Amino acid sequence: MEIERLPEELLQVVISLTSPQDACRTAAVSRAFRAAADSDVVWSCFLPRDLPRFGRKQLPRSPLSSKKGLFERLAAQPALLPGKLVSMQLDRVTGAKCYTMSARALRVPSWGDTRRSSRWIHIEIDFITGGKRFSEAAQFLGVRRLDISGKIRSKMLSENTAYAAYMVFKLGERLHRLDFPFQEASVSVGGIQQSTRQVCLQACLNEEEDVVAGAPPYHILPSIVGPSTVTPGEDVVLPRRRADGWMEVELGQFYNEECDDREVSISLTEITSNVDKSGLIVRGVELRASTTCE
Amino acid sequence: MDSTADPKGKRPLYQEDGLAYARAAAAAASATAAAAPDEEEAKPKPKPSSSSEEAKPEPEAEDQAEMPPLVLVAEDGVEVSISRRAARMSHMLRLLMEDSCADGPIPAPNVHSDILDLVVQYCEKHGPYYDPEASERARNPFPPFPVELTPTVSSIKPVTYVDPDPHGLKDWDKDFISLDNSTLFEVILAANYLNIEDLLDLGTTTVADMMRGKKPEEIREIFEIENDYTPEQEAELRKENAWAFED
Repeated sequence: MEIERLPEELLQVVISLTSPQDACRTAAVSRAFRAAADSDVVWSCFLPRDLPRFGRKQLPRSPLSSKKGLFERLAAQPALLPGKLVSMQLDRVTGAKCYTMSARALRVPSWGDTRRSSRWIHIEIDFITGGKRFSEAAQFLGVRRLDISGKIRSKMLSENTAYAAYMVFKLGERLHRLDFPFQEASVSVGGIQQSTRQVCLQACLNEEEDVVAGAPPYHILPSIVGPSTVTPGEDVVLPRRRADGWMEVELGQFYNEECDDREVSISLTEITSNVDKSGLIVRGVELRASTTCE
Repeated sequence: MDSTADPKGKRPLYQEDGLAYARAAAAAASATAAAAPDEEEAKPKPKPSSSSEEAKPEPEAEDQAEMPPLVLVAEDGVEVSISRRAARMSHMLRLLMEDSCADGPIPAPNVHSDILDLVVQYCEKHGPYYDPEASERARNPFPPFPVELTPTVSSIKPVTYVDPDPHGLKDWDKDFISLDNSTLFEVILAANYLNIEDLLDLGTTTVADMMRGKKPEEIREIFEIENDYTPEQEAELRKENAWAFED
């Protein structure tokens, strides 16, 4: 009963110190709690201090009736930035700004003059509407120098937040030489390297329940010349299959401190071997708030 | 870059009514008491340690130690004294002291003497280390959402490590705020009335910690709250925010 003596503004302060999930739960406690939990005061604290400018028609024309509504809109589905190459979505749990850079937003290796080597292909995307650029993926068929990179200004990200970068991709036709040599993935902020590792794009982590049942931790897809005999070591990061059928591999992690604007650069390269790599289809790079650290 | 987030501070405004009431009461009490020595000359220059360009003179901590403590009067009539140095932690008392309205007894209506004792205890403990200007500077009007994420090992560390708890007060605070719910809320209300930001922060954070991660039924049990929803209304609410109730 005593908590009901608190004036509403203090209850709002208390709830704003919890989390979006807690605020939704406390709304179910009582009507008085709901009034506080749904208030703009609380959801202003959960929304990022700076939101990027969004493309036209991304947010409803009339101002959303509440901060909670705005949070909901931005957490439920991505919103395109002007130019439609990049989208942003709020992480429901932390309120952190998460970004997806479409393949068109990335710098991909110059594809040379042979049309057979690489091209843009159309992919089915149903999570974003009006994004013609997002419905294109980069398909690599015979590239000697694999050098994919994406950049984003750190001021666009949430402060004091740990992020992980993922490349979203598929292995398609004419799969060749993505198992070895291992690719180099790295993340740098302001020119200083934060994280570097090796990845093996042709491998795939097996589902946890299968591993528990006795299956090996990963498998390697066969290439056009036959099964692979490569065994990636413990420190090589392997891709996993996503719910939407695409693969993703963690390229690196970094911590976005509260400081001046720096350039975050994420890259995947394989430039040491002299063979043509083939069969990689890149959909984009995602930057998500991470809750684990290495 | 347009900001679509409303930069609304989340601190409650300090009670204008409470301050005016206290001022009037203090002035009336002082007028009937023996004429206090003229403190105009005693009001010294601004603190040399302060780096702000604040022109308003603030009594030195050392001088304050010589001045008599303030007297607060609880709702049950009991008088509780608080040193001037500790009283600085209360924005309301600080203003009264600056306006020289703090010589007589200062009423603290709706605050029981037991609670007032606790509040004074907190201020006396923190008072020696309290710097109002530093507190204002540190008090970010747009506090970042408290994201509990640990930085990666490879992240850039600041060159100078600033100890967030140089005087070891965190443990003392933790013991201090281990109160039963009833007392905790009374302390919060008193801190709100007297406008003691740090104590208010401590109290609200403690309550938030008690609520975090709990289901609605658990919260109702902890704080003895009556559920005034019908089962249908509650089910609807849970459906609307289904993701929040997943685990």
